[in-house]
Amino acid sequence: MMRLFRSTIKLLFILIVFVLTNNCGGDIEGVYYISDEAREYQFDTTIYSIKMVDNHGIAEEFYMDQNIWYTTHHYFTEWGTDGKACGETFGVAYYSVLNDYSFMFVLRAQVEYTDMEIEWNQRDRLVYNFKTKKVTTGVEPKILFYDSLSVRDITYGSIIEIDYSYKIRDIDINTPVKAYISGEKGLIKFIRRDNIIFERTE
Amino acid sequence: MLRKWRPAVKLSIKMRICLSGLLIILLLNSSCCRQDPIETARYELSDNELALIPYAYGEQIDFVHSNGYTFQFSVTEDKLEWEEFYEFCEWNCCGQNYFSYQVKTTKLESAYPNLIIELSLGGTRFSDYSPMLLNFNINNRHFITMQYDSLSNFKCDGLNRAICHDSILIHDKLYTGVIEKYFDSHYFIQDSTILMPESILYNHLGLLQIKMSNDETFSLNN
Repeated sequence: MMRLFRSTIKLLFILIVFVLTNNCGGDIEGVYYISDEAREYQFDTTIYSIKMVDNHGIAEEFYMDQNIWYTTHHYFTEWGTDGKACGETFGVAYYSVLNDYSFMFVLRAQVEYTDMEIEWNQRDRLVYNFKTKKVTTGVEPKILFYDSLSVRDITYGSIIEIDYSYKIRDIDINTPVKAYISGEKGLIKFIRRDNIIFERTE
Repeated sequence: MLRKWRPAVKLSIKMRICLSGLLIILLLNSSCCRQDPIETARYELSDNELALIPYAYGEQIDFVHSNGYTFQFSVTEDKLEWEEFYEFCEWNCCGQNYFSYQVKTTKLESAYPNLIIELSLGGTRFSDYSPMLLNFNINNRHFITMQYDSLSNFKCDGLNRAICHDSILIHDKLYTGVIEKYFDSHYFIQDSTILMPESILYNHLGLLQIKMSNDETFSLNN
């Protein structure tokens, strides 16, 4: 009985070692960079705060989160345990002073493509694959990319428009129905479900 | 010739499991505390103190922004509870003495702007017993404490950045016995150039005004 028990333990150990050695990085080697298409949206992280005003004239300000890992905005993440593969990541997160919004934007290189992650208030997070042009995680909004948008007489370049208008029931009450992000300057405009519009002022 | 060591009494697997179970029960039993903690004092909030937060659950309070936008705060929580205070203890804490204290917590919430204001007396959920203090925070990010004396009158001094006004005019209405208190701290905001709530005006009617660092205000709209 005991001999059988010991043999089973040994066999299990060998099996675990086998599974682990076959999953630690595997054949992946090299450094994987954010694609050129996605790099266009790696916006200026020296902008510490984003001043906005709503359509009632109430000021709001987003400030860069210094609390979490986004204090380092650009880095390489090691994959596996052998140190032979790593991927480039760009990330930034902001909190707002008055309404307590949180907004996170991440570009993450994978082996064959780059992902874009956008998260509002730690509730609605979407992951968009730049290669397949599809949302792989989260409620799928309409996503548009265009060259420029003028907000309060300032023209911003490399625009991403996130539109949840047709999915309004699926998103959190505080997730903006529409958001406009500039690849140069970050968040420039967003619209709440109660039609309150926030626009960047500088 | 060396002989292989063998236990004096050979136990079956069943017996070993039973013995291990008994040992665990013995250990668990010996770690139980049979000594009841002793309450050494009870600190109840007085009626005067309770009147410092003059809101009732379900009440609606009208406010107006300095640019004219009107909105309402709803009182979404108003509770009075007894808490127990124990000295910090890491080992052998069985039968520790404690005292009880009353905590009043009231929450005001507005749909837009997204403001959650928490007021508390006796203590907060971040700290233990804090007597003679009215705690006030907005969205758990901007914090104020207001000291009061044994007659529940607010203490005003430069050190605590609290100014007492006999009366103050807000939107053509005169309010008496007003304390103006500046915010004590802001969660993870180091840059003083960023827009922040700067101060509040408060009296026996409750919150009268929040003043922002850009001079915008959110005021009671009676």
